[in-house]
Amino acid sequence: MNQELFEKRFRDEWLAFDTTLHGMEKNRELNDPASFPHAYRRLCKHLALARDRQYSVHLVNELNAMAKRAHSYLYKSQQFTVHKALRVFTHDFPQAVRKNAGLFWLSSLLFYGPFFAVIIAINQRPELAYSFMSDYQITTIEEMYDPNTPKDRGAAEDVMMFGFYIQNNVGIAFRTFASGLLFGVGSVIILLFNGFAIGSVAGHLIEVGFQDTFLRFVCGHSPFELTAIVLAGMAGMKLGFSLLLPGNHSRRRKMMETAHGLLPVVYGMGVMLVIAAFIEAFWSPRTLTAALKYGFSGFFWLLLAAYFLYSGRENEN
Amino acid sequence: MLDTTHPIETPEGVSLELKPAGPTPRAAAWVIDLLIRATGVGVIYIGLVLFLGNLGGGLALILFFLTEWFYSVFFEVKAGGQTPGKKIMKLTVVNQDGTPIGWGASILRNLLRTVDALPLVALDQNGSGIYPVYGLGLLVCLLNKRFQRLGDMAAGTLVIYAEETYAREVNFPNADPSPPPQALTLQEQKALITFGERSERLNQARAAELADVLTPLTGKKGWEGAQKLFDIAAWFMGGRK
Repeated sequence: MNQELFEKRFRDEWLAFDTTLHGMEKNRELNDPASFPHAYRRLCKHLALARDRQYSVHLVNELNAMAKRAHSYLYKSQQFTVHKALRVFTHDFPQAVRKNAGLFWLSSLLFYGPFFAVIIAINQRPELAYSFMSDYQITTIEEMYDPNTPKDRGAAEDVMMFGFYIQNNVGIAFRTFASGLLFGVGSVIILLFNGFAIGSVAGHLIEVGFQDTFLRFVCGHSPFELTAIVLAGMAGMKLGFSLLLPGNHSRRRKMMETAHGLLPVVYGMGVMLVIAAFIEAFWSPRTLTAALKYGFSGFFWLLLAAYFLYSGRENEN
Repeated sequence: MLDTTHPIETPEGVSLELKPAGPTPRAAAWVIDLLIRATGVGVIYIGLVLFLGNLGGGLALILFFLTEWFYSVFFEVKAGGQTPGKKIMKLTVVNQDGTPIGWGASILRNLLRTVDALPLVALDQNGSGIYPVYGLGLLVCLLNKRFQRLGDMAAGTLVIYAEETYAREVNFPNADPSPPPQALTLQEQKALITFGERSERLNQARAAELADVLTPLTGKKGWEGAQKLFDIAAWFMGGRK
């Protein structure tokens, strides 16, 4: 059969199918859903014939374009459901963390190691603080945590800080995760850097005797924020090491699988940081009794530990 | 045919061809999106801060955060794989198997944009402006036969040219089907038919220029030669006089 006859015979069918596709695109409705797969298979058959008989490029492209449209409608991915979203937080996230427990502890070491090392070092030699921070930074933090200067900010300023913490912290966490792609190096560097930075702030404030105000401020959001940083580093390293040690898979495949497997962790740490931002903006600045503050903090440390240890264990193998 | 196409095997047994887009249109789309985001966020930011003070400032920061990371995600999933910039450049984002992109893949490819954006360079002396150069992304994109940057590889996505509906109404205007002066191979016939089908999109000068290549066949030069070729193409397409 030559091309002209081929086209003449099936042109109406293709036109009808094109109209169906058009209807789906514009109005999102389908008159006869049951017939769609059958019509699509016929189109595929025509496309295969046209290619095989080496009909003109334009005909092949036309059928190819229609088939692509139909393909994307037929095989559209599953949509978002609330159930699936909740399941991420009840099962997928804690399971993913438990699966990577080794990297979690390594990440913790890379963060808390420098953190405590710097605090101890500054305790021994107070002038070290000036090696880690500029004079401007030191005056700023001293002013922020000086117990003698009362601070009270209005609700509007709290919201401003809430926005700032979200934009700053979640951004840093995402970057920590993403930079792990460079064979894990990026995440390691960011973990160490943050450990040193936060440790030097804490160390200096302890040295000048402001530790009470400082701890009362940070203890509220620390469980969420610090754990999220460690999780970001863990996820980044997992991503990077999947490139280094792909095992039985190609690097590209392994990277793709690892990245998709780490999505629950990304979602989880995002939520944790939003919670931390909320606490940091609205709870932490409030002057309350030490018992209340430390109790709140301790409660959430335990809660998080319980969450990661026990949540989602039912169908874990 | 020499072309950058990526065939995907479908369950129906036929392979569909996707056309991955190279770095140039993607870069253009990115710039357009950047301008849209900057103006949009800038306007809303000024409005919020002017009218709501610190409260507005906080909301603006959250908005800034959301657009920084999730502008592309929202459009890719909800608007058929096309952010406004991509729509203008006629590109779209799909999964590697041709299916529309989902939330997870879109989030991954946009989060990992950070790595593709390296290295960062400071364009002014005090280092207050640090700009992404996308050097790493460009390099990876070019080393890859599907033009995937790192984010695309991790997410399993492709950026392809979006094809509009390929409405083809090819009649050969004023064509007088006539057989070729000598027998032609199948490849040659195909080439002529393709030339004929492009007849409406080529301008006269260009058609003449191409037809000159086949002067030994047609015995004519310039536009006359082109018309003779159209006649032969029409004959191959099945028209008989």
